[in-house]
Amino acid sequence: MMVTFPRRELLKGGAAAAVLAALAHLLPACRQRDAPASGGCGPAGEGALSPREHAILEAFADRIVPPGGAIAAGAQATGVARAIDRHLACHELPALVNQFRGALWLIELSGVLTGRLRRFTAMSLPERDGYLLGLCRSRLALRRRAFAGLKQACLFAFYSTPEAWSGIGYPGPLLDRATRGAGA
Amino acid sequence: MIVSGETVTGDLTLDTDAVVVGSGAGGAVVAALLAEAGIGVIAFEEGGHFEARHFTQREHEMYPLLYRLGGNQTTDDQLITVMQGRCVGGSTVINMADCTPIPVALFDHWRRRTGSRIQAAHLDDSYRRVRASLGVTRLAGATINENNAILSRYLARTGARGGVFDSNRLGCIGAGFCMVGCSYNAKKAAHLTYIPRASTAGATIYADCRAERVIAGRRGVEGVEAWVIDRATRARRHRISVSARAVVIAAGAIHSPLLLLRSGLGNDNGLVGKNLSLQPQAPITALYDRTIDVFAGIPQTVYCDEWETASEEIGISGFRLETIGAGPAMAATVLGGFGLAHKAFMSQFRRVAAMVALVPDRPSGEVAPGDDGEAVIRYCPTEEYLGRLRAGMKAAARVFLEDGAGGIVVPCEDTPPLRSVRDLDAIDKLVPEPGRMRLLSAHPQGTCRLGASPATSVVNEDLESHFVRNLFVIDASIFPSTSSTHTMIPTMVMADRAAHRLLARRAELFGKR
Ligand SMILES: Cc1cc2nc3c(=O)[nH]c(=O)nc-3n(C[C@H](O)[C@H](O)[C@H](O)COP(=O)(O)OP(=O)(O)OC[C@H]3O[C@@H](n4cnc5c(N)ncnc54)[C@H](O)[C@@H]3O)c2cc1C
Ligand code: SF4
Repeated sequence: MMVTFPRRELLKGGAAAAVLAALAHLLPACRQRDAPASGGCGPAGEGALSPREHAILEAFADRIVPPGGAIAAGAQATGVARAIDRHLACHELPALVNQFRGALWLIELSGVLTGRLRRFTAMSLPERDGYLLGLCRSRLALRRRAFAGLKQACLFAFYSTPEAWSGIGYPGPLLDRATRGAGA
Repeated sequence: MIVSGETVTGDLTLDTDAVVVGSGAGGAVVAALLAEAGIGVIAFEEGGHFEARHFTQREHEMYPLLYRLGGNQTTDDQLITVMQGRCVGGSTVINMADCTPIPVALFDHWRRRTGSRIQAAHLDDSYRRVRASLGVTRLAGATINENNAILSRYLARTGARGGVFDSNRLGCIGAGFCMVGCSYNAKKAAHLTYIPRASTAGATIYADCRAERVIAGRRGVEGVEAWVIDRATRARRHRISVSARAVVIAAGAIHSPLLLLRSGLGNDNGLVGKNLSLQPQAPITALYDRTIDVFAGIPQTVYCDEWETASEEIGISGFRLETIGAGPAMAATVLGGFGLAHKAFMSQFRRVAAMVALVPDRPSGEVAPGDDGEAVIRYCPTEEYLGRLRAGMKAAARVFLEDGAGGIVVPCEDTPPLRSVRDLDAIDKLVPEPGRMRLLSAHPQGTCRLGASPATSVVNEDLESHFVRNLFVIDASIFPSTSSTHTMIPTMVMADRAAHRLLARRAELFGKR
């Protein structure tokens, strides 16, 4: 499903918005929140994204769920980007996968297009955090939507992993607990 | 008989009395009642057929299996996630099992809007039959978990109107996984009630089969063309062509209009797909200093409808509050923020409580076919609706704060936690903009509305198309405005009534006594 952008929003955004709008037809329904941390329908390791795109996703996921803090594990250690990529590989709507790609490129290039910053993957970690904060507060819906869609995908994938569950005290499926209990 | 798509090995050409498209709240009821009356029924369900043993209680495995687009169907601007089941039993398999009736005042509202002469009393027998079939009972007080008890205490303390839901559960152990399918067969959804009845009575239900087109000639419907699809890739595998005397479309409020539009049928007045209500809900989370375990126990047992009204003039209005459970993956996605701050909040997941402000809307959206065969859902919240949404969010936050919660989180990217009643004015400034805020819809309705006149409605009071003979739409699409705060029972009673009306014409329609 293609995403449409209200004309008035583009007009408000000026030249940068016009360039972003060129990416817009690629952009994000970003509804790939349902990323299996294991499984997916492609052969193990096979994804839908190019190595560059995968690297952007890795870098993005790492800032959404960085390592350390209140929960030890982070996106990298739990394979969030890989899980999302594998899920995309067997997604039912190829157009959505393209839109997901579009969102990744928007994250990567949006700073360059506005003439202020480097590519996302070339920034330092604190720069990335500041830049993402700007995206999620942007007055351009296009940027906010790219950020929100990818963010939801990363969070859903991370909080589907046993590492995250143990970090938050979630006991997991009751079925497993019952089986474990019966086996004990 | 339920036929899984993977067991079909070639194209099929079939003949039957009635085809039913969709096996959810509307389709399952119609399929069962027609089959039990001796009418030949073939039903198509786009999703797979799953049973308790398939429900793993893991969100990342179940959403892709049981929900349309893995639970990620959204409005075209991504502001509202529109959740719908896609499996045998439809949304009843993944719903919260709250059973609510259509408010009596609505029937007069619908008379005003579309000339519908259906009155509440016309549905008495249908309520009795549907409630008996689903085993609807009032939930017992003992089933109220800590999260729901917050709202119970509020009701007790303030005398606000509200109560405990009626529900179609039997033998529930309070596992808390209703939204990803009940592994204990305790939730008596359509796949455990009406679908087995249909099957036992001789209906054939093809799972993993998508109806692509309804075929009609000058004298009315002639049949349906469907495709068996691969469950993983959704690619077409085999064609099934069915000739039929009647076709019932029950594909839900997003996909029934899509099927009509794809087929070029029933849209002479241009109203198919229009008049969409989404009843968007705003999830509000709160942090306590004690364990709540929002994921355990029956997720939704208590409601407060103090601020909800139903009137002849405007239908259902105001808002209501309902506590709600969630697993960690879904819960994480509705919180604003990211990085270590988001992690810090999630690390306290066991102390998190959640509630939704459920805000009945006036129809203000539409559904259109997208390039990829899926729906484009356009929806523009009105200012009037947004005012009630903000009031609902504030009321929910106030309930939590008065109950001792330490902080409130609204589903917005850039709003910091609200810590006291004084902070709640921040909610007045919230602008529900795409990418900034996230709303959820579980009750899409209205896109093939019923009425007396072909000028203002898509189907008549028997839910038959005004324009194509023997073509029926029997699901949540047919409500002229939002029918109740929960739409399973309203859909089922309307389906029960329509099936009986249809059976009264069995000689004319099917040549059967
Ligand atoms: C998360 C959630 C919680 C809910 N909680 C409650 C609750 O507690 N109480 C309540 O009353 N209501 C609840 N609801 C709403 C209620 O379940 C729905 O309103 C009701 O099921 C709608 O019935 P329906 O027949 O219109 O559609 P559905 O039940 O959604 O069924 C439609 C079916 O048609 C199938 N279909 C679509 N297109 C095609 C096609 N082309 N070919 C073949 N099949 C097709 C779909 O896959 C689907 O299975 C909830 C809904 C959700 C999503
Ligand atoms: S709470 Fe009850 S109905 Fe829901 S999944 Fe658990 S046992 Fe089933």
